[in-house]
Amino acid sequence: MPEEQIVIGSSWHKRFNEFLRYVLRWKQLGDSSTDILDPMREKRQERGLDSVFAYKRNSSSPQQVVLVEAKTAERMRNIGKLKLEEWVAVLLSKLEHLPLAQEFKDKFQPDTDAQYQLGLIGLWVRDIEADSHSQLQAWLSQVYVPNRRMPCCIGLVSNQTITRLCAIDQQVQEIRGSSVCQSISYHFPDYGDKPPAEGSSVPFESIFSEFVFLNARLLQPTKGGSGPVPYNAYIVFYLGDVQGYSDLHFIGLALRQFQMLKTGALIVYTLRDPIDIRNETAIFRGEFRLGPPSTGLVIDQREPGDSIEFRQLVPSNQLPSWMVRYD
Amino acid sequence: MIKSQFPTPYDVEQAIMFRTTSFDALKHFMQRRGLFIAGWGKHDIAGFATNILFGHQDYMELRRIALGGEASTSISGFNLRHKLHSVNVETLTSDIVRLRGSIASQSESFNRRGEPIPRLGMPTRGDSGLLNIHFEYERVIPGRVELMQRVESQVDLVLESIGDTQWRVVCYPQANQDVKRIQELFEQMARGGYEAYTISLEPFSREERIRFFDDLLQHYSRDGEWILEQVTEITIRRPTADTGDDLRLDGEDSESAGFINDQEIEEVDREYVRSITQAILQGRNLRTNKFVQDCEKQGFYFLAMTLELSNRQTPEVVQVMIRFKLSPQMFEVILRTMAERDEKGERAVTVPYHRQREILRECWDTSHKVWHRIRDKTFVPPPGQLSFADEIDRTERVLQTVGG
Repeated sequence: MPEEQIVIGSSWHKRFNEFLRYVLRWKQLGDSSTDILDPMREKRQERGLDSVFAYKRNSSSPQQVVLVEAKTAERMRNIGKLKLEEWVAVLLSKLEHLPLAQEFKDKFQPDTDAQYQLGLIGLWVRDIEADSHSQLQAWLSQVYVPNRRMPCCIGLVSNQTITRLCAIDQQVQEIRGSSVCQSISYHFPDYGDKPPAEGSSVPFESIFSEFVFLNARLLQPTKGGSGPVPYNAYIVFYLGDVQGYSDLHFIGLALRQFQMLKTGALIVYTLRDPIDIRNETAIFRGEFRLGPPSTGLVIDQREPGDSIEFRQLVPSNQLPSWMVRYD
Repeated sequence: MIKSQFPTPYDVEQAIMFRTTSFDALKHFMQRRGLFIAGWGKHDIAGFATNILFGHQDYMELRRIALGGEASTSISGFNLRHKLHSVNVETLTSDIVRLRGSIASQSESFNRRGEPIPRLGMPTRGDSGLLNIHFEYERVIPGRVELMQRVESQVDLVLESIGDTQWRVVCYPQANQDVKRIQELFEQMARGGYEAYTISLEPFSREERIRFFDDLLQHYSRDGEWILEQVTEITIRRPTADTGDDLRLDGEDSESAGFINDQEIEEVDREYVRSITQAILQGRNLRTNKFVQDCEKQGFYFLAMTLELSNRQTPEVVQVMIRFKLSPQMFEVILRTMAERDEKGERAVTVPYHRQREILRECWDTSHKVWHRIRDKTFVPPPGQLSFADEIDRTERVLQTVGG
């Protein structure tokens, strides 16, 4: 049984690395499953690191290193608050000690100005029917996190976040592969005190954000012999609850804040079926003076920048096939 | 709802740094979203939170936390008495109806302030002479923090008689200020004829303050529907000016001061918390515990305690925080977690709202009984007037007799 557990664990570790590499577009440093001598421990014990990843917000910003742990469990109830607490405490201590070791620098070769205040735990519950995000949230809120003089942050993503980000990635790939797409890239509006992110990778904080924005150049087919007309579009994924009009209005405020209204066509993905919220979307169009997307081949009188289309994002509860193909 | 502007990083930072924003509630808010921030205070949490684009419901929750509310269901309130005479349900109902009229007549003054008129619902008579009222209002908080400028709030109130002269107003608030607002409103009734007060540790000596929590823990280790599993968190405080038994609580001071750098004791040493559970479960009283003795010697006293309780009849396991809040001064019970336990383990559940209220109500009533018992040992009522505890006991006896 322990051997089987090791095989399952290693398989998830490999998949989570793929997720970080292809969905978040982070770069792996060194090898996976590396032991490093802890310089701060009296007996200088070796400590294992599942993976070390890094990304840059833009070409001139410092490299952000993220220490990564992949965890898997058969069922949610096998985890519990104490196990989560242990995972967080262990990764926190690795984050504090290991980047100081010369061996770490030799094995992972981070940039000299690299920053090390982030850790990420990727948890996959294999019995997807028994996965309960609300149960996990209840435990997470009870985890004890010790105080530290130097602030650092451990993030934990589980089935729900991973599959949602995979679903967004899949939509992006579909749009990119379609005949109407000239170009598409992630767009991170200037928000907070971090340097601007140019879109080559998904920054850490965006994993925990409810909005994901993309900037696209799409083509509008036309009637007759003239070629398709290119236009700008923003593609917005909103992962928060949409219970009523107030939530849609909030999306509108975000679009206004980040100057996406009237500057390009808008495609907004939410987790709700647009049919279910058709009354609310009609009010939204009225309030923000946007029309439905133009249909057919002829561009109507409206500019593409005046239109908004609501679509549904339907995340699967399983990992995408490309991630599990080579197991 | 958030109406006029998407919250900016400045809004989020300021909301987090508000004096009323609870550090614990903030940590729970971030942790539920999978973010564990190891730092040294609210400022470090703000450093991470201001870079995240939260969802609508998240910002609403953050706003609630910034207004002193916890991210969970809570119960609070105050006691109300007429300054001159006893008040029966009919008199109170007509005073409330008149209060509604008086609010409506002030519409111009509300309009001038750009504030919608608060809506106090008609009181409806419930079981055992209870009065139920719904109150809605919008708080306008002038300032540069857009997120906090206009906050709608809805509160359900239950008014119940606790003797001939007293009424208890039980609120299920969204933020602490809700209770304060209702209290101020009720004090205007009958041209200022009513006065409101809340139970607090202020009139108690240092020993009595410990006794309150001691008696509460003894109750839950012995009697009733719920039984104590463990104490999970304790907040202690040392008053700014310790003048022996006559301690004055200063609302401006940090309410969660601890042994080291104003941190809560839970973060100093969890062993102490465990030792308290052990002492209680072994049937000893709190003051025999070494940690409690040390606290007492150094002038600290308990301000809040989180108890994990399990139900004797059902698989329910809850964590409730019983807290004497200093600013605004109020007593509250907060339902922190709910779970069900069976042979396979414990799993988080969300029990129906009415059940959450029942659980809170039970802890609220028990806490009040304990408080009144201690208070009445030292309080000598004027001749002919019953003490609060006597009134409660008498009411219970009457109810038992009626129930057969």
